[in-house]
Amino acid sequence: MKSDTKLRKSDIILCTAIIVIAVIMIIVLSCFSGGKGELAVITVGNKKYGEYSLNEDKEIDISTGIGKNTIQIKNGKVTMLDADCPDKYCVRQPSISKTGESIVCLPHKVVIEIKSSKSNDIDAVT
Amino acid sequence: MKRIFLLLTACIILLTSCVLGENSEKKEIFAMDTYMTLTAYGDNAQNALEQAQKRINELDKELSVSDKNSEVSKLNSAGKGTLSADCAFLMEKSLSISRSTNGAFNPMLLPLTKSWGFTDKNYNVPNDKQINALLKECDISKVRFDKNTGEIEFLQEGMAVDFGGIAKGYASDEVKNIFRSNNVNGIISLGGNIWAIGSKENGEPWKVAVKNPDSEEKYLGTLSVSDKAIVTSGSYERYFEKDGKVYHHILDPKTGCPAESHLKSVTIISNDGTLADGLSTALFVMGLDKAIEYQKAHSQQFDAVFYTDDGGIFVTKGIAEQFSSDYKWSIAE
Repeated sequence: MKSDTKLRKSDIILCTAIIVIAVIMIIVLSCFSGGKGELAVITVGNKKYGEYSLNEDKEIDISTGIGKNTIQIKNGKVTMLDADCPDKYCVRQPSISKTGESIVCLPHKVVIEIKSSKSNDIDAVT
Repeated sequence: MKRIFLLLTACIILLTSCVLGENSEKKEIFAMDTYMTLTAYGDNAQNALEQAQKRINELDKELSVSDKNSEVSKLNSAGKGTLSADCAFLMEKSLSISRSTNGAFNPMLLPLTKSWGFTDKNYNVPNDKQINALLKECDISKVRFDKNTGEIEFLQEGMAVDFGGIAKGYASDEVKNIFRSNNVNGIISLGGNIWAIGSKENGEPWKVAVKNPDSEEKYLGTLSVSDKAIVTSGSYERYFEKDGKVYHHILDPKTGCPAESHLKSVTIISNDGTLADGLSTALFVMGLDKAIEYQKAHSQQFDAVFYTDDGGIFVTKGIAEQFSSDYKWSIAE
């Protein structure tokens, strides 16, 4: 029983290898997908409302039959500045700026998602 | 030890290729006065790309109007000759598109485009007298062409052909044929002349965005397509300003001046890239109403997306389901 739990040399090498791979994986993945996004994509009730560059400061007022939301893009970050939804969770969420991050206003079905530059999901432009 | 090292290396390679996501081959080519990108998937991808590049360079040599030694330049200075297979095909196709569009497409406008300065960027606004004189040199009815023998003659002094309106479309068709014969899928853009060959590696259709001359942030819309050629002609592509007026490069063969058709761009979607290239220009010249009428009569051959100068986006029925946009758009009827 005792000899089974003893670490052999090859076990240590294997463990080291796995750790090395894991570290490389984290580095590579963070380089490729965790980079700073470039577009804020806003959807309202599953329909795309608009795409906005994070490089341009601006305020976007969304007014639907359900309510109003004010979204701010400033210094490359997106914030839900104001909303007349009952819970105001969306307003309390921190600003977002990285690819894949999102702010959701559930009552108004407003979703802001950061996507990397448009060339990434577009194959060609005419 | 050795085995573990190998395992590690294999893992890293696998991981890297996973992150990069695709096993595609890409080639970037500067030819035919434009920038081209060719992306290919499949075992023969590299092979197909090399053949494609060779073919593109070959066509460039034959069709260039700036190269004095090209077949087209030699024909233009001689005023007659016997055309090679490529040039004969392009001449026949040009004449057929010209006939079908009632002259809205004309491959004989070179004397005019030269005078306006669009060939060498020495921009100039010719006066009415000059334009009227030049229009005589652009009269397509003065071309005698026998498609069986390839013999051609210009019956008017000063006439010159320029296949620039369909050459890139033709080149894209040729590359598409090379891809297909190599069993390769991919997407190519010859300066905006797109051929979406087959579908993506994951089986999804290609996504082709249509440029928006009025916004740097949003495309006009996106087309999801497989096995289609897509070409856009727009007044924003080449233009100059003089005395506060904007002059763009798409000339109306009837007036000899930049077409005032209230369109900003026309996108054609078709199985025939050469036709699509020619029609994108012709339908731009026609203007929205005539263009829609023309499309309805030829709906088996192509579909279109029109963008008008007051911001309207009109999409023909056959492609409407594959079109999406952040903007309001309607079916062209």
